[in-house]
Amino acid sequence: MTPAYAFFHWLMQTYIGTLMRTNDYLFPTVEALHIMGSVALVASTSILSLRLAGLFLAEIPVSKIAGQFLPWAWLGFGCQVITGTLLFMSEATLAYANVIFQIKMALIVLAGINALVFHQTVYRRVKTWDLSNPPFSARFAGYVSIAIWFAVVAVGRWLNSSVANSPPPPPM
Amino acid sequence: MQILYSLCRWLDSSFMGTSIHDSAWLFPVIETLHLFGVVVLVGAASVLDLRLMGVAFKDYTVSMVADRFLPWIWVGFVLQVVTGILLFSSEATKMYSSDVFRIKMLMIAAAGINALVFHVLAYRSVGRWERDPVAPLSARFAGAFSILLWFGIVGAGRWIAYS
Repeated sequence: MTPAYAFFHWLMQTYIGTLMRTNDYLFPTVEALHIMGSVALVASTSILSLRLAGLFLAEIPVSKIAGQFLPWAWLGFGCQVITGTLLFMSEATLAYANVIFQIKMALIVLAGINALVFHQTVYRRVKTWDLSNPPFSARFAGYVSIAIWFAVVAVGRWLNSSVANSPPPPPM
Repeated sequence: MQILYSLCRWLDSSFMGTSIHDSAWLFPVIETLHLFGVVVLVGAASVLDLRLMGVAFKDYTVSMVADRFLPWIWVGFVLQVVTGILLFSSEATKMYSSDVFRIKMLMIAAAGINALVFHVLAYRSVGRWERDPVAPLSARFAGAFSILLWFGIVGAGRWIAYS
Protein backbone atom coordinates (compact mmCIF):
# COMPACT_ATOMS: atom_id res chain seq x y z
CA MET A 1 0.00 0.00 0.00
CA THR A 2 1.51 3.34 -1.05
CA PRO A 3 1.48 6.17 1.52
CA ALA A 4 -0.90 8.14 -0.73
CA TYR A 5 -3.38 5.27 -0.95
CA ALA A 6 -3.12 4.71 2.80
CA PHE A 7 -3.83 8.38 3.47
CA PHE A 8 -6.87 8.55 1.15
CA HIS A 9 -8.13 5.26 2.54
CA TRP A 10 -7.86 6.73 6.05
CA LEU A 11 -9.66 9.89 4.83
CA MET A 12 -12.54 7.78 3.53
CA GLN A 13 -12.80 5.87 6.79
CA THR A 14 -12.90 8.97 9.01
CA TYR A 15 -16.17 9.85 10.70
CA ILE A 16 -16.93 12.57 8.12
CA GLY A 17 -15.94 10.45 5.12
CA THR A 18 -18.10 7.56 6.32
CA LEU A 19 -21.03 9.86 7.09
CA MET A 20 -20.80 11.47 3.62
CA ARG A 21 -20.85 8.03 2.00
CA THR A 22 -23.54 6.33 4.05
CA ASN A 23 -26.07 9.13 4.61
CA ASP A 24 -28.68 9.30 1.82
CA TYR A 25 -29.13 13.06 1.99
CA LEU A 26 -25.71 14.42 2.82
CA PHE A 27 -23.93 13.79 -0.52
CA PRO A 28 -26.66 15.34 -2.73
CA THR A 29 -26.98 18.29 -0.33
CA VAL A 30 -23.24 19.01 -0.32
CA GLU A 31 -23.23 18.54 -4.10
CA ALA A 32 -26.02 21.16 -4.42
CA LEU A 33 -23.94 23.55 -2.26
CA HIS A 34 -20.93 22.81 -4.52
CA ILE A 35 -22.97 23.92 -7.57
CA MET A 36 -24.14 27.06 -5.72
CA GLY A 37 -20.52 27.82 -4.85
CA SER A 38 -19.55 27.45 -8.51
CA VAL A 39 -22.05 30.20 -9.35
CA ALA A 40 -20.41 32.60 -6.85
CA LEU A 41 -16.86 31.68 -7.86
CA VAL A 42 -17.17 31.35 -11.65
CA ALA A 43 -19.60 34.25 -12.14
CA SER A 44 -17.48 36.68 -10.08
CA THR A 45 -14.19 35.74 -11.73
CA SER A 46 -15.86 35.81 -15.17
CA ILE A 47 -17.13 39.38 -14.65
CA LEU A 48 -13.58 40.54 -13.84
CA SER A 49 -12.20 38.45 -16.71
CA LEU A 50 -14.67 39.93 -19.21
CA ARG A 51 -13.65 43.40 -18.04
CA LEU A 52 -9.97 42.48 -18.51
CA ALA A 53 -10.72 41.10 -21.96
CA GLY A 54 -12.29 44.49 -22.78
CA LEU A 55 -15.72 42.94 -23.42
CA PHE A 56 -17.80 44.18 -20.47
CA LEU A 57 -18.18 47.20 -18.15
CA ALA A 58 -15.45 49.12 -20.00
CA GLU A 59 -16.46 52.45 -18.37
CA ILE A 60 -15.68 51.18 -14.86
CA PRO A 61 -12.01 51.09 -13.70
CA VAL A 62 -10.54 47.57 -13.56
CA SER A 63 -9.37 48.12 -9.98
CA LYS A 64 -12.93 48.95 -8.93
CA ILE A 65 -14.39 45.82 -10.56
CA ALA A 66 -11.67 43.78 -8.83
CA GLY A 67 -12.47 45.44 -5.49
CA GLN A 68 -16.20 44.74 -5.85
CA PHE A 69 -16.13 41.19 -7.19
CA LEU A 70 -12.97 39.53 -5.82
CA PRO A 71 -14.40 39.22 -2.26
CA TRP A 72 -17.32 37.24 -3.77
CA ALA A 73 -14.89 35.12 -5.76
CA TRP A 74 -12.98 34.30 -2.54
CA LEU A 75 -16.25 33.51 -0.75
CA GLY A 76 -17.16 31.14 -3.59
CA PHE A 77 -13.66 29.62 -3.56
CA GLY A 78 -13.88 28.98 0.20
CA CYS A 79 -17.26 27.30 -0.30
CA GLN A 80 -15.81 25.15 -3.10
CA VAL A 81 -12.79 24.04 -1.08
CA ILE A 82 -14.97 23.03 1.89
CA THR A 83 -17.74 21.29 -0.08
CA GLY A 84 -15.21 19.81 -2.52
CA THR A 85 -13.17 18.32 0.33
CA LEU A 86 -16.33 16.79 1.84
CA LEU A 87 -17.34 15.24 -1.51
CA PHE A 88 -13.79 13.98 -2.01
CA MET A 89 -13.65 12.40 1.46
CA SER A 90 -16.65 10.21 0.72
CA GLU A 91 -14.86 8.47 -2.16
CA ALA A 92 -11.23 9.51 -1.72
CA THR A 93 -9.54 6.32 -2.98
CA LEU A 94 -11.77 6.29 -6.09
CA ALA A 95 -11.37 10.00 -6.84
CA TYR A 96 -7.61 10.44 -6.40
CA ALA A 97 -6.86 7.63 -8.87
CA ASN A 98 -9.40 9.02 -11.38
CA VAL A 99 -7.88 10.76 -14.42
CA ILE A 100 -10.78 13.22 -14.70
CA PHE A 101 -10.31 14.22 -11.06
CA GLN A 102 -6.60 14.74 -11.69
CA ILE A 103 -7.39 16.90 -14.74
CA LYS A 104 -9.82 18.98 -12.65
CA MET A 105 -7.20 19.58 -9.94
CA ALA A 106 -4.56 20.44 -12.56
CA LEU A 107 -6.94 22.98 -14.15
CA ILE A 108 -7.62 24.60 -10.75
CA VAL A 109 -3.85 24.89 -10.14
CA LEU A 110 -3.48 26.46 -13.62
CA ALA A 111 -6.26 28.97 -12.82
CA GLY A 112 -4.41 29.83 -9.61
CA ILE A 113 -1.09 30.32 -11.40
CA ASN A 114 -2.78 32.48 -14.05
CA ALA A 115 -4.34 34.68 -11.35
CA LEU A 116 -1.09 34.88 -9.37
CA VAL A 117 1.01 35.86 -12.39
CA PHE A 118 -1.59 38.48 -13.36
CA HIS A 119 -1.59 39.99 -9.87
CA GLN A 120 2.20 40.00 -9.53
CA THR A 121 2.89 41.51 -12.94
CA VAL A 122 0.49 43.60 -15.03
CA TYR A 123 -1.99 44.28 -12.18
CA ARG A 124 0.81 46.02 -10.21
CA ARG A 125 0.69 48.78 -12.84
CA VAL A 126 -3.13 48.85 -13.02
CA LYS A 127 -3.21 52.60 -12.30
CA THR A 128 -1.59 53.24 -15.69
CA TRP A 129 -4.31 51.33 -17.63
CA ASP A 130 -7.28 51.28 -15.21
CA LEU A 131 -9.64 53.03 -17.62
CA SER A 132 -8.04 52.37 -20.99
CA ASN A 133 -8.13 49.19 -23.04
CA PRO A 134 -6.22 46.64 -20.92
CA PRO A 135 -2.74 45.64 -22.15
CA PHE A 136 -2.35 42.38 -24.02
CA SER A 137 -1.15 40.40 -20.99
CA ALA A 138 -4.24 41.48 -18.99
CA ARG A 139 -6.62 40.57 -21.84
CA PHE A 140 -4.81 37.25 -22.19
CA ALA A 141 -5.18 36.53 -18.45
CA GLY A 142 -8.92 37.31 -18.74
CA TYR A 143 -9.53 34.92 -21.62
CA VAL A 144 -7.45 32.16 -20.00
CA SER A 145 -9.30 32.56 -16.70
CA ILE A 146 -12.77 32.25 -18.29
CA ALA A 147 -11.73 29.24 -20.39
CA ILE A 148 -10.21 27.44 -17.40
CA TRP A 149 -13.07 28.04 -14.97
CA PHE A 150 -15.76 26.89 -17.39
CA ALA A 151 -13.60 23.87 -18.19
CA VAL A 152 -13.41 23.13 -14.45
CA VAL A 153 -17.24 23.19 -14.30
CA ALA A 154 -17.46 20.83 -17.30
CA VAL A 155 -14.84 18.44 -15.94
CA GLY A 156 -16.68 18.48 -12.60
CA ARG A 157 -19.82 17.29 -14.36
CA TRP A 158 -17.88 14.44 -16.02
CA LEU A 159 -16.25 13.51 -12.75
CA ASN A 160 -19.69 12.79 -11.32
CA SER A 161 -20.44 9.93 -13.73
CA SER A 162 -16.83 8.84 -14.04
CA VAL A 163 -16.27 8.19 -10.32
CA ALA A 164 -19.71 6.62 -9.91
CA ASN A 165 -19.00 4.15 -12.74
CA SER A 166 -15.36 3.36 -11.98
CA PRO A 167 -14.48 0.02 -10.42
CA PRO A 168 -12.76 0.25 -7.03
CA PRO A 169 -8.98 0.30 -7.52
CA PRO A 170 -7.09 -2.66 -6.07
CA PRO A 171 -5.16 -1.81 -2.89
CA MET A 172 -1.60 -0.95 -3.91
CA MET B 1 -53.51 16.50 -16.76
CA GLN B 2 -54.20 13.75 -19.29
CA ILE B 3 -53.12 16.10 -22.10
CA LEU B 4 -49.88 16.94 -20.30
CA TYR B 5 -49.12 13.26 -19.77
CA SER B 6 -49.81 12.52 -23.45
CA LEU B 7 -47.49 15.36 -24.40
CA CYS B 8 -44.76 13.89 -22.18
CA ARG B 9 -45.20 10.45 -23.76
CA TRP B 10 -45.00 11.99 -27.22
CA LEU B 11 -41.83 13.89 -26.24
CA ASP B 12 -40.30 10.71 -24.78
CA SER B 13 -40.80 8.89 -28.07
CA SER B 14 -39.92 11.82 -30.32
CA PHE B 15 -36.71 11.78 -32.35
CA MET B 16 -35.24 14.41 -30.00
CA GLY B 17 -36.16 12.50 -26.85
CA THR B 18 -34.96 9.09 -28.03
CA SER B 19 -31.73 10.52 -29.50
CA ILE B 20 -30.74 12.11 -26.20
CA HIS B 21 -31.94 9.13 -24.19
CA ASP B 22 -30.10 6.56 -26.29
CA SER B 23 -26.85 8.47 -26.74
CA ALA B 24 -24.05 7.83 -24.28
CA TRP B 25 -22.72 11.38 -24.48
CA LEU B 26 -25.58 13.75 -25.51
CA PHE B 27 -27.23 13.92 -22.08
CA PRO B 28 -23.98 14.71 -20.16
CA VAL B 29 -22.97 17.30 -22.80
CA ILE B 30 -26.34 19.08 -22.63
CA GLU B 31 -26.24 18.85 -18.83
CA THR B 32 -22.82 20.53 -18.89
CA LEU B 33 -24.23 23.38 -21.01
CA HIS B 34 -27.13 23.57 -18.52
CA LEU B 35 -24.52 24.03 -15.75
CA PHE B 36 -22.78 26.79 -17.75
CA GLY B 37 -26.19 28.46 -18.10
CA VAL B 38 -26.67 28.31 -14.33
CA VAL B 39 -23.48 30.31 -13.83
CA VAL B 40 -24.55 32.96 -16.38
CA LEU B 41 -28.22 33.22 -15.32
CA VAL B 42 -27.91 32.90 -11.54
CA GLY B 43 -24.61 34.81 -11.42
CA ALA B 44 -25.97 37.80 -13.33
CA ALA B 45 -29.33 37.74 -11.52
CA SER B 46 -27.55 37.61 -8.15
CA VAL B 47 -25.53 40.76 -8.92
CA LEU B 48 -28.75 42.69 -9.57
CA ASP B 49 -30.47 41.09 -6.55
CA LEU B 50 -27.60 41.93 -4.19
CA ARG B 51 -27.65 45.53 -5.46
CA LEU B 52 -31.41 45.75 -4.85
CA MET B 53 -30.95 44.32 -1.37
CA GLY B 54 -28.32 46.96 -0.66
CA VAL B 55 -25.80 44.24 0.23
CA ALA B 56 -23.26 44.84 -2.55
CA PHE B 57 -22.24 47.01 -5.51
CA LYS B 58 -23.72 50.13 -3.87
CA ASP B 59 -21.30 52.36 -5.82
CA TYR B 60 -23.33 51.70 -8.97
CA THR B 61 -26.88 52.89 -9.61
CA VAL B 62 -29.61 50.25 -9.81
CA SER B 63 -30.46 51.16 -13.42
CA MET B 64 -26.80 50.87 -14.44
CA VAL B 65 -26.52 47.40 -12.89
CA ALA B 66 -29.84 46.41 -14.51
CA ASP B 67 -28.77 47.72 -17.95
CA ARG B 68 -25.48 45.83 -17.88
CA PHE B 69 -26.60 42.57 -16.30
CA LEU B 70 -30.12 42.03 -17.69
CA PRO B 71 -28.77 41.06 -21.15
CA TRP B 72 -26.65 38.34 -19.48
CA ILE B 73 -29.65 37.21 -17.44
CA TRP B 74 -31.61 36.79 -20.69
CA VAL B 75 -28.76 34.99 -22.47
CA GLY B 76 -28.49 32.60 -19.52
CA PHE B 77 -32.27 32.16 -19.33
CA VAL B 78 -32.62 31.27 -23.02
CA LEU B 79 -29.72 28.80 -22.71
CA GLN B 80 -31.47 27.22 -19.70
CA VAL B 81 -34.83 26.96 -21.50
CA VAL B 82 -33.28 25.34 -24.58
CA THR B 83 -31.01 22.90 -22.72
CA GLY B 84 -33.71 22.28 -20.08
CA ILE B 85 -36.29 21.29 -22.73
CA LEU B 86 -33.75 18.96 -24.35
CA LEU B 87 -32.96 17.27 -21.02
CA PHE B 88 -36.68 17.08 -20.19
CA SER B 89 -37.56 15.49 -23.53
CA SER B 90 -35.26 12.54 -22.86
CA GLU B 91 -37.13 11.57 -19.68
CA ALA B 92 -40.43 13.45 -19.93
CA THR B 93 -42.80 10.87 -18.41
CA LYS B 94 -40.35 10.32 -15.52
CA MET B 95 -40.27 14.09 -14.87
CA TYR B 96 -44.08 14.25 -15.14
CA SER B 97 -44.38 12.31 -11.90
CA SER B 98 -41.36 13.80 -10.10
CA ASP B 99 -42.25 16.01 -7.13
CA VAL B 100 -38.84 17.67 -7.14
CA PHE B 101 -39.26 18.60 -10.81
CA ARG B 102 -42.69 20.14 -10.06
CA ILE B 103 -41.20 22.14 -7.19
CA LYS B 104 -38.43 23.37 -9.51
CA MET B 105 -40.94 24.51 -12.17
CA LEU B 106 -43.10 26.24 -9.52
CA MET B 107 -40.05 28.09 -8.20
CA ILE B 108 -39.11 29.21 -11.73
CA ALA B 109 -42.66 30.49 -12.23
CA ALA B 110 -42.47 32.30 -8.88
CA ALA B 111 -39.12 33.87 -9.87
CA GLY B 112 -40.69 35.07 -13.14
CA ILE B 113 -43.73 36.56 -11.38
CA ASN B 114 -41.46 38.22 -8.81
CA ALA B 115 -39.36 39.81 -11.58
CA LEU B 116 -42.47 40.92 -13.48
CA VAL B 117 -44.07 42.50 -10.41
CA PHE B 118 -40.81 44.28 -9.61
CA HIS B 119 -40.53 45.66 -13.15
CA VAL B 120 -44.09 46.99 -13.38
CA LEU B 121 -44.13 48.37 -9.83
CA ALA B 122 -40.92 49.43 -8.04
CA TYR B 123 -38.71 49.65 -11.13
CA ARG B 124 -41.00 52.20 -12.82
CA SER B 125 -39.88 54.82 -10.30
CA VAL B 126 -36.24 53.69 -10.21
CA GLY B 127 -35.04 57.21 -11.12
CA ARG B 128 -36.28 58.53 -7.78
CA TRP B 129 -34.56 55.99 -5.52
CA GLU B 130 -31.70 54.40 -7.45
CA ARG B 131 -29.02 56.59 -5.86
CA ASP B 132 -30.23 55.84 -2.34
CA PRO B 133 -27.91 53.45 -0.53
CA VAL B 134 -31.04 51.67 0.73
CA ALA B 135 -33.68 50.84 -1.89
CA PRO B 136 -37.42 50.90 -1.06
CA LEU B 137 -38.70 47.89 0.88
CA SER B 138 -40.46 46.41 -2.17
CA ALA B 139 -37.23 46.46 -4.19
CA ARG B 140 -35.20 44.96 -1.34
CA PHE B 141 -37.86 42.28 -0.92
CA ALA B 142 -37.86 41.49 -4.66
CA GLY B 143 -34.06 41.12 -4.60
CA ALA B 144 -34.02 38.84 -1.53
CA PHE B 145 -36.90 36.73 -2.84
CA SER B 146 -35.26 36.39 -6.25
CA ILE B 147 -31.87 35.26 -4.93
CA LEU B 148 -33.51 32.74 -2.58
CA LEU B 149 -35.63 31.35 -5.41
CA TRP B 150 -32.74 31.04 -7.88
CA PHE B 151 -30.47 29.23 -5.44
CA GLY B 152 -33.45 27.06 -4.46
CA ILE B 153 -33.92 26.23 -8.15
CA VAL B 154 -30.24 25.23 -8.43
CA GLY B 155 -30.61 23.01 -5.35
CA ALA B 156 -33.83 21.43 -6.67
CA GLY B 157 -32.11 20.83 -10.02
CA ARG B 158 -29.41 18.79 -8.33
CA TRP B 159 -32.02 16.79 -6.39
CA ILE B 160 -33.97 15.86 -9.55
CA ALA B 161 -31.15 13.45 -10.39
CA TYR B 162 -31.71 11.65 -7.07
CA SER B 163 -35.51 11.69 -7.01
